[in-house]
Amino acid sequence: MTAAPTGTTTALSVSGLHVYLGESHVLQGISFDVPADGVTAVLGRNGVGKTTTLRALMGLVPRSRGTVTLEGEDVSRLSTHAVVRRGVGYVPEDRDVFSGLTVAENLRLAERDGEPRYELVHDLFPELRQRAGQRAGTLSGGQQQMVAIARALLNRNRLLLVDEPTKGLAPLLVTEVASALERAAGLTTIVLVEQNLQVVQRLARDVVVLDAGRVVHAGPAAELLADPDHVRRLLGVHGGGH
Amino acid sequence: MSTFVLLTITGLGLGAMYFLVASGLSLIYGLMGVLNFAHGALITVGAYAAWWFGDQIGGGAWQRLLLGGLLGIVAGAVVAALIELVLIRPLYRRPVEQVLVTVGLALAIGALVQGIWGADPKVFPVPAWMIDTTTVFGASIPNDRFVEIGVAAAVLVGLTVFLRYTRFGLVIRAGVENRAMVAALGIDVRRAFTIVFALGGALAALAGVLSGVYFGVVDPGRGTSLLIFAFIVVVIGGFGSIGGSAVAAVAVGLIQQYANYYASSGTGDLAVVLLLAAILLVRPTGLAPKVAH
Amino acid sequence: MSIVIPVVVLVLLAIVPKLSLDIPVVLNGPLDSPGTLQVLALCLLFAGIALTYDLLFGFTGLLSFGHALYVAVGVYATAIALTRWEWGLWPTLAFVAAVGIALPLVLGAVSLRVSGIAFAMVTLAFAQAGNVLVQKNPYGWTGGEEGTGLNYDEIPDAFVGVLNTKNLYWLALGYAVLVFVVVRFLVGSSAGHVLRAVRENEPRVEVIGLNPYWFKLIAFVVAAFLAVLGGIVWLLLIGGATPEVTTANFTLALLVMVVLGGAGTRYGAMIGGFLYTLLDQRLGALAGSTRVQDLPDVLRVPLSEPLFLLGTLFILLVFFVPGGLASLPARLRGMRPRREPLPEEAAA
Repeated sequence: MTAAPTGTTTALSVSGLHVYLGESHVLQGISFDVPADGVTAVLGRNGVGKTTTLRALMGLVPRSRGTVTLEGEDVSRLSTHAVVRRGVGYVPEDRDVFSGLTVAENLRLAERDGEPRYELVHDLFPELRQRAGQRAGTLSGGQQQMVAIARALLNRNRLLLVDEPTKGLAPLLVTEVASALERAAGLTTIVLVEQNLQVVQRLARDVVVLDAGRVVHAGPAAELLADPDHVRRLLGVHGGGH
Repeated sequence: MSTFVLLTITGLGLGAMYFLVASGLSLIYGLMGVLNFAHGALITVGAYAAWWFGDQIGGGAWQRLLLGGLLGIVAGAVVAALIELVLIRPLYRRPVEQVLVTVGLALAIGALVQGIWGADPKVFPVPAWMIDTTTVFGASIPNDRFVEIGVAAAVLVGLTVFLRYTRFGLVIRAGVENRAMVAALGIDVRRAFTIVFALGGALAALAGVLSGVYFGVVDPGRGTSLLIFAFIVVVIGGFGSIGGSAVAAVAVGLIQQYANYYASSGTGDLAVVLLLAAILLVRPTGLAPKVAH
Repeated sequence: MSIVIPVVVLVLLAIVPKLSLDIPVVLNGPLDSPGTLQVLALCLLFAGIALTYDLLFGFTGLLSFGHALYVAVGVYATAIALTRWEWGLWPTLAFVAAVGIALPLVLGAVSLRVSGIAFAMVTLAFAQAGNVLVQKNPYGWTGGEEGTGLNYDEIPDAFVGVLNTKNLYWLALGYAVLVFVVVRFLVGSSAGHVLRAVRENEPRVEVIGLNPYWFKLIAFVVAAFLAVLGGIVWLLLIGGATPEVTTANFTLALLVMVVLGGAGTRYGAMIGGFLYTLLDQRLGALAGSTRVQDLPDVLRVPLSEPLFLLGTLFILLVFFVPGGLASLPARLRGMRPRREPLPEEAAA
């Protein structure tokens, strides 16, 4: 159903992934490949299983069947922290920064490598350096989003899983986040769940579209976004906006 | 006035013991989501281990108390770590079963201790100095009260420093808020669980040793009665909050003493219980800021 | 599950006092002996009381740590009215029944304003208050630590005296049946369906316009009232009131009984209550026997403490048979046991 564009390696390969949440069969055999470097966007209407897919990759929800391969290594049965230690960064939908900790402490907690990339992080988000001693619970939504992304960028991750980073942000912040992700995309592979099609258009090289727990389309982003009818059929929105 | 001073310091002494038990309980629940009913058993283990080791070591009261007490604390930590590794960890993601297992443990360990040493209290090695009194504002205060308060204060400071300035403390503080996210940062929370559980065990054992000094004896029922008050302290102070536990422990200890004296015997215990109900009905999450799970 | 087996069991239980049958080891003395009937009556009583707790915990998902309070109310209110105030039988029963409805109504209304661990702690707090009150011995009514005896003057002759133990046995059996019928009725009613829904997903219940609070309160009051009745039967069986019945340990024992048998199942709690009590009584007797006393310390000590054995058994059960004994038949048949999810699990 999907194939990595020729000439690139595959960073992540998902095959036949099934996830049950309680009685609900949320993911019904998801399969897709994520080519290395650059952004693969995961699209779909609300409730189709996009967030669950990321959470399953992270091992945060039980994976009932299927394989997940990270740069050739089978990570299907690993616990969450083990997956992350293989070089995966996660930016969850609700940001999940630790409110009781300061910005600096939030970042310190995320340190894994010997050489955390504070320069990069402070370059992308200068505000974080200024607010280092501020309790994360008192930050605005946009600032918390920066902390969440910074956490994932601190280490040299092979893969970033980013879940709706622009949700609820003002347009100026959306641009800032998109720029940061663009720069990050130059350094690693990103799987991006996103509803904002302008951001997708700017960042994504490939797209995977989900519907009712299955993959219904996969291919180059530009191709899909050039066809508004197709977009509307798959996503129920007008192409190019949100 | 002197009675008031005596009551106050006695209340603080009791509060010290409540705090030691409550701080461990609070961290364990805050981080692991386990309501540890076996905590009372850990108090008993600490108290009896200290008494038994003290007996084996022999010598003067100071020697028996300090060495026995130290070994008692170690015993508490070791038993707690074993419990976590063997019984709690395998039940990860089954929180109800975890609580039930601690209930079973509480019954089993309590019965075992009683079976080995009987239900009668055993005399605890208390150095003469601790029984002596010092006059403070006209009140004759038994010196052991100062020891309890001092130890608890030291533990409070130590815990706060530990949580604030060490990496492990950082992990715990974050884990109390959101342990899934901590794992999502690549940290193995389960190891933190074992260490926190063992720490709780050590603190409970320490409380057991101090209770031996305070009451002069160790008996099988002490753990349970301390535990109930510790629960009340934890709920009032807020799960996962050391500072909250400290404040609540002081409040509970003082109210208990004052009410028992100025109203009538037993009223203090009643008052504390009603205080708990009152606070919960107003703020179901206790006095500390809400911790997410 | 067909109706035949339970009816057969019931009939068998009813004729026990007529059977001069020996069951060695399990029971000490033939079935129709007063000593054995006393033990069995206690087992049946706790089968009933455990079921009242299961109504709260297993069916409605309310983890209460203060259920012992209501049994204690039944015990002490009856004892005090009959013995200290020297009332007649019917005024006493009316009084205890009234308290048995009013008290849980008030305490439940207050406790149910919170949920989860907070609810558990508030109920624990109220039960502790009860314990303290009993120990304080106001006006000398409760007898404090020592408890109080029972004035048999007003008790019907049928329940007085060792030879009438069989009547007490039937009373306990009747109580267990009553509890079963009431709980079944409540669970099967539309209110019961709401209760089950509340246990599984409370917000959903609110969404369809029902206020879970009132349903929980109904369950709370019914469970408490039935427990109070159980307390009355207890008093008659034991012949006195002691503070043991007001302790947190007592509620925990109820929890163990329910989980042992299988929370939220039809017969689980009753089986658990019966077995736990039987084990507790018989192990206690076994512990005192010469055979055990002669054993080396390593074996003697654990065996002479019934609670140690029960606690260990409980832990093993939680690990290996989490559905309780009621789930064993299904497990043995190799099926996935039909287990109704316990409170916090549904939220996990």
